[in-house]
Amino acid sequence: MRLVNLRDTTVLHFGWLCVAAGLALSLLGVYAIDLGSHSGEVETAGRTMSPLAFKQLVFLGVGLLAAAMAAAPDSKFLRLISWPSLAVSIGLLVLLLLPFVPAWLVTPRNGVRGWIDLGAFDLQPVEVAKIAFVLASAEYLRHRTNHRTLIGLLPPAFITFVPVSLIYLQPDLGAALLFIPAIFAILVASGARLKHMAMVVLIGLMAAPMSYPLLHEYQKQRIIGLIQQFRGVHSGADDINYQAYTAQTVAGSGGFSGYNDAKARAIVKYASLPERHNDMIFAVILSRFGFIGGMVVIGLYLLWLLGAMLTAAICKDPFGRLVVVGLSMLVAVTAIVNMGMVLGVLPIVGLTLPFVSYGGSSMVSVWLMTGLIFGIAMRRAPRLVRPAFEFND
Amino acid sequence: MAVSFAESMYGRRLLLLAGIICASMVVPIVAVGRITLFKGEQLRQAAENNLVSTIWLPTSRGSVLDRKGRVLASDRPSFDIAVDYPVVTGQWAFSQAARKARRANKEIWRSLSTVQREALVQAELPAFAERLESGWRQLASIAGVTLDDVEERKSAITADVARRAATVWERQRLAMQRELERGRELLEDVSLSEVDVRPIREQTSPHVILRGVDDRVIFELRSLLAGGRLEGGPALSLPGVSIIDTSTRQYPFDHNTVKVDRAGFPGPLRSSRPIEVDVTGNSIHLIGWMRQRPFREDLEGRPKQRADGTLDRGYYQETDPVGSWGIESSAEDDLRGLRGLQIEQLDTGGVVTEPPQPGKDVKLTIDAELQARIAALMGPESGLTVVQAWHKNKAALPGEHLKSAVVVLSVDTGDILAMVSMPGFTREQLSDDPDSVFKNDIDLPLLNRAIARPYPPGSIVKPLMLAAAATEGIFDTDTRIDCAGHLFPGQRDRFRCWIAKPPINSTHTFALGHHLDGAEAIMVSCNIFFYTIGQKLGPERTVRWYEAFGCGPNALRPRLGVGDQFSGVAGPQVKTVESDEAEMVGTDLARSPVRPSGEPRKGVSPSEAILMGIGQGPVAWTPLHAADAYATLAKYGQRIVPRMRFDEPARTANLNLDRGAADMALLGLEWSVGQEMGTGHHIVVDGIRGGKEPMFNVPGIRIWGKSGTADSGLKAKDAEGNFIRELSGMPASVDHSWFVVLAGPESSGRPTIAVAVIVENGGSGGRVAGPLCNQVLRALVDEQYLVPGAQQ
Repeated sequence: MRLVNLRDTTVLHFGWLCVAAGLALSLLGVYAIDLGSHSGEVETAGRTMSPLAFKQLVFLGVGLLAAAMAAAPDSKFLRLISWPSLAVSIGLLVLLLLPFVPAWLVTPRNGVRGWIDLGAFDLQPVEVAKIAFVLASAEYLRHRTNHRTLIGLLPPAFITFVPVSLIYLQPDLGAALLFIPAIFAILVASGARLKHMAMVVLIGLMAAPMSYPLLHEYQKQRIIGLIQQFRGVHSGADDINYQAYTAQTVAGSGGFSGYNDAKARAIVKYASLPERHNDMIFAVILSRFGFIGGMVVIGLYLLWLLGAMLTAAICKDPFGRLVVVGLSMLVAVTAIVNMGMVLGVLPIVGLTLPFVSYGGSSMVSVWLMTGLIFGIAMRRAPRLVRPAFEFND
Repeated sequence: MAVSFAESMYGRRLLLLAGIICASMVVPIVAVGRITLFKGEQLRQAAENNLVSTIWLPTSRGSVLDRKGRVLASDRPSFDIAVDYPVVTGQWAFSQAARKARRANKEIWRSLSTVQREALVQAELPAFAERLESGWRQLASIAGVTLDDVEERKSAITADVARRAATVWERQRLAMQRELERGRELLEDVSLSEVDVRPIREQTSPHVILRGVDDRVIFELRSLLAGGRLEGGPALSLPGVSIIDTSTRQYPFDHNTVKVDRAGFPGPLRSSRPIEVDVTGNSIHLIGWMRQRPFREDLEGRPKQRADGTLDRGYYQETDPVGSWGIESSAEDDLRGLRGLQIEQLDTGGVVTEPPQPGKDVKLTIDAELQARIAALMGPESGLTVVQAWHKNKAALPGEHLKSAVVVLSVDTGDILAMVSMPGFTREQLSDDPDSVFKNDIDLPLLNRAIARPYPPGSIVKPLMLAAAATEGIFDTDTRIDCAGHLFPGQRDRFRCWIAKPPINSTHTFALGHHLDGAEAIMVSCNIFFYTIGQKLGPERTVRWYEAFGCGPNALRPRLGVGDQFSGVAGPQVKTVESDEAEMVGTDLARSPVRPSGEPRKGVSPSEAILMGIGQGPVAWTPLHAADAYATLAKYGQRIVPRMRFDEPARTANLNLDRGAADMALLGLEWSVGQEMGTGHHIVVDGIRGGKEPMFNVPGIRIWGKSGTADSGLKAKDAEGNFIRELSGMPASVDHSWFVVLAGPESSGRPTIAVAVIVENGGSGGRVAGPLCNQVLRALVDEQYLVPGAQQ
């Protein structure tokens, strides 16, 4: 089995849109991280930048390399590794939760057991699990028909439940909830009955309030904080809503076109915005570039999604189709939730802004997704293909 | 192709998903627009506010001074010297060494091993450690303490912070464990290493190394701290030093020891040996006190931004002390200074400083030494206000300390030289046992009896009525009036003279051998004479003259700013006290605004006007009113409204008193204390030199005085609770004892000082208030306000 058969590939394809958008977002992220961090300077190519920005640049390089490696194998290989990769991911997720795992290997951060210390870098298994989950779900559903029955939805639900519950126990509710829209999108694309899906969504929405008592106290506080924001109650401005209000102040200060570089750096620095280089990076961008900058970022995500959706549209391989749809949904939901929490329309959950936020695992993961989509996009359709996902509603 | 794609289920589903994603993207698009375009300006303002660092520089509160410039209240400058915690622990030296090593080896730092890095840091460490050591020595030397003292304090701080940190981190660990246990069963406990341990506040903030440092040390320290910013200047080598202003309010005259000379005391109390009396809470009624936190009204009354948008640098912060009572409260706006302001633009480094403006000093008209002397005389130790057997007090047992008040007024300026109310209270009581001040409904120590407690004036108004009647033209100074013992023929029980007691039923006409003129009437305090005056004046003119002398809600009133102040009652008005609390105290003596029949009173009746002629009936005032009225009489009606602050402009009124009548009144007052028959001439002390001795014994001082008996409305009871009957068969009244004098040097033809004394329930006449008044005059001599024989 050859990983890359150049005869089956094309140079002109929609995957480039994803790469271009991802690259633009990543470079914007490096700049925003530099703008938002003040912990010293590193000289790079005659210019100075903060160590964090420099590291992010390195992560981008690693991410691009990972993307290239992900784009190389064809779908047969990906199908082959789909289940084993999910098994490995689940194994890593279980490892995180094992009580006897030494502290040097798994060190909780703010109470979350989400990272494995590999010396040179920290591996965040949830990032691996997201991709493996999409691959396994796509592999499972690519030629199936029983998912058009209610009973047939149980196996995909089980595939989702296992990683979701393990991630919830870390506890990282935000990351765990990402799997649900991904499997939803994969099921919809693979032809599951819409009435079944609507029923599931309805039940989920009705059950959501009942799950409130199961939430951790800090999670409840974030929901309460959001309600306070909606009601215009400022009593939590120095407490549970400190991060939210500070983020909104920094974001809104950019106005239409934002501050100049120096002023934006001062605004971000003296606002003392927590997680400004990470979860709250969108606020930094808005402060620097204002409304225009916000629209550019959203536009770039739409461009990335356009490339992914067009790839899915022209893709004839059912596995490839579902992989692209699943990964697109992951990136879209992560971006929307992150921007929503910065802008005060969603509660604050620990989700990064794909391509933009600081973080090696996040950067490599999102470029792996881009690489997978690129790999699917660059492959010509086989002459003979069995029509997939064509059912009578 | 597009058609076939849209017709396929997969195509439709893909479009559906794309639609959902695009629809979801509308949410951040709208939110970005809302936050940057619609709320942008407001948020920009808020964000840019973060770029400005505003540091308020402390100011100092003005002092309260007495008339001789003695400090009665002032801010005691006190400072603490604090040092950043990393400097205290020495961690600062490690941090600095590490930073320097990293910078010096910037190119190779990342390639170095931990051991190599540690070696480089250790090489830099001694210089910084030496700087710290030298700095601590320097600080100890400036502050005049030993290095051991400083080291001891550092150790205590380190130990305390370590203990606090351990407690906080353990609490965080337990909280996290509880949190995790909610999600799943833990097989083992969470350890501290799993908790994201953050430094506690005490590990990043400055700690006080030296407390209560005086301003000399601070001056030197500030010079060194400033020198650190100037090239070549001497500088403090210790980093992270800050100066904390911990100024406190002090009252230097609050505690006094007064030597009381008892040589001039009444016989039974007389002694050649003076006593030392500790006076605590001197002038506390007047100076007042501070509270440590502002009330909401204070915060709202003086907000940071004025209505016109400008900044008020004197605005209240939550921890600001505020004047709570007396001058400290009424002069709050003057005493309170304006903070300085240092505004630093953090992004540009620009600094604008507006220096603090200290509060203004407030100078009072009182004399702190005189206050202390009078308080000592009024205290139980002197015995003057303690019930003695010769007081013949029907309402109190011997040995009981009576409540009293004294006011001393400068006749020429209206300055209140002294104002003392007894019982008082101490600042220790305020802080340790406030209920003993605020909830003591028996002694009412908070009440300043000199200005807030209404008393019927009694006979002390008689000279005023004489002058008023003459000025009105209804009484000729040549007129003589027959004292028949009672005003109306055949009505012995109504409007009776005090001398006409059964069984003798004497009269002043009989005692003097002729009808009385005005001066004689004042001398013997004849009621019939002044009933007649009251009758002739009638209700309207009587009330008007009381008000002219300053008594009544419509009168020109002093604005003292020393707490509750009773305006006086002259007529049926009831609500005459300027605070709810004092009103409650005063209404028991004020006349009801409704008649027993239920009809509202419209004014003073003719028979009430007759009573008001002798200071009874619907009339009540305070010792300040009495002193003020006598000072006005002494100046022939030129009234100067009494004042407590020097900076208060004089307020005057001219009553244009008939000069002849005023002279006659003054003559009567002089006879009252100078003639054998005068009611203020002597006291009867059983067993001592025949039991009779002069009321006043201040050599070289000319005195015009009048005693007064103020019927409190209460009746005296014996130990069994039965009313004590007088010779008339009527229950004996519980009287307040008044004495008011005008005094001046013997050689002078005119008074310069007015003194009013009241002793609550002291008994009839001036036998209690008189000796106290005499001692006040002696104190005035001692304090040079009365110079015997001298022309002032």
